[in-house]
Amino acid sequence: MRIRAAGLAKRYPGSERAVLDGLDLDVEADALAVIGPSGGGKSTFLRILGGLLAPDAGTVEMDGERVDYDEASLPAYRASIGYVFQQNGLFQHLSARENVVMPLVRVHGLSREEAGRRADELLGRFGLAEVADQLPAQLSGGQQQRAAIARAIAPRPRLVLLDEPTSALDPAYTVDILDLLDALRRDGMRFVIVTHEMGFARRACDACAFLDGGRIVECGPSEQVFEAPAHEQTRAFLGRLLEWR
Amino acid sequence: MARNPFVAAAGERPSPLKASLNYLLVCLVVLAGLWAAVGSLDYVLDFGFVGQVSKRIGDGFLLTLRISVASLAISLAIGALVAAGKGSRILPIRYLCDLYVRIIRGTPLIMQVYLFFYVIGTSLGIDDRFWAGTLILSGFEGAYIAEILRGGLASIDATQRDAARAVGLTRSQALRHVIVPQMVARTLPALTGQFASIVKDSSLLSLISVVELTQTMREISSQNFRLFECYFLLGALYLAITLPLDALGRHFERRFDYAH
Repeated sequence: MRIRAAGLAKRYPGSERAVLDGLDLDVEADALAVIGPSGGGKSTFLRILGGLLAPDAGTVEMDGERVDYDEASLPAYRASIGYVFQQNGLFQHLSARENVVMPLVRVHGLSREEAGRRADELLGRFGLAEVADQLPAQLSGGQQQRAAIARAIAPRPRLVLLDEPTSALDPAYTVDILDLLDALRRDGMRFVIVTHEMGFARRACDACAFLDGGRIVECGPSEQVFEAPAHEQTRAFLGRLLEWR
Repeated sequence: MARNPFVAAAGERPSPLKASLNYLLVCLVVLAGLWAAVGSLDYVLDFGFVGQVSKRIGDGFLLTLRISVASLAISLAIGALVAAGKGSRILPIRYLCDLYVRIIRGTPLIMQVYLFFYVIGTSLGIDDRFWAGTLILSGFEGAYIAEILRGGLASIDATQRDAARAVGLTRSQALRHVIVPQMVARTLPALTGQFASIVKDSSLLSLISVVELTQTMREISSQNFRLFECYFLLGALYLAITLPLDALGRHFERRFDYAH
């Protein structure tokens, strides 16, 4: 998968500061980690990639295809991409199973039987068969995120975007989710993940982008970014993080 | 330690038996108090007249129900429009809805009934008392329902809208499959309570001689002077509607527990 972003800029209404300030990126990777300090614009960048937010300026290309940020064409684009939120992304009024089924039926035009089969298969594989009929509020944080990932990949999207999917979880659940993502990656799932889990960014992702101050400071193969960062900013950030590892 | 049968810790749910026995006790005490109060007046309650006027009472009861149901439907429509209008990008619409809610909620219903019926109703030539009364009541309750709906809408997490868009739902699909179902879950208990208020508030339409339950009782009591009996009966008949509604509201609250 090739992702190109050129001159992305975003400023929220009523805010002085630009969250994205001429962000450029050109990367070919099947698993891309976006790392960087909080408030650096990682989530905003991911929302733009996912078509949830239109940039004020700049362009995005997915595999050579330019994203059209026109409200009429966005639903189809979003439907081609899976999205996993940090937390509370599951529809609160639907069971885990219905969370997977509803978009398959309403957006992707599957029959309820076919959608149900796909949901059961995924939820079973993710160890959620027992709790498939429970509402999100009745599930643990880890179960919720697994169900959210099931919902994201059920329509077989070309790409899955994950916005800090483990930040709200305790350490045991975090490892659960990261293991699951790694297994899915080996099965061919392509994804972009915004994460603070540096071990995962380094070992499970083939490329890593360091985003700070609204720009991509550095982007390259993960091993290289972590072993020999080219920029002083990246070195300082990683140095601080690894202090306690 | 023997458990005190009259005590439950804060937050503790007493057993059904304990709860009903205590509730029964309270009811008996209240009834005994009433009985003593009436007895001290040297007055003997006599409900013998009810048989003769049961048809009128039934008609009044039905009219109260009809007004309430019609009013619920109209005030829901008004409430939805006003709630949407309060979020409008067009400022005159937004402020119009805001002004409406402030004025209606800031003034007593009795003033609205008189003012709208005699001044506005007369000038518009509306003389059907049922519809005039129902519309006035709907205008009043609509302001409260608008606030309930507005609160319900505001309480839906922003991530839910994001998630709806992220899975590829269009705006109208998101509304239909995500926002409205969650709104219903969040507002149904409060709306049920508001319906009970409509039933009670409809009694003020007796002021413009709509012969609903309260007006029926006023008329009967002015003929037979059985004031106590009439108003006891009136209270019991309102409770016959509002208590089941209260139970329904609690049922909704439990059913949609996830939303709270």
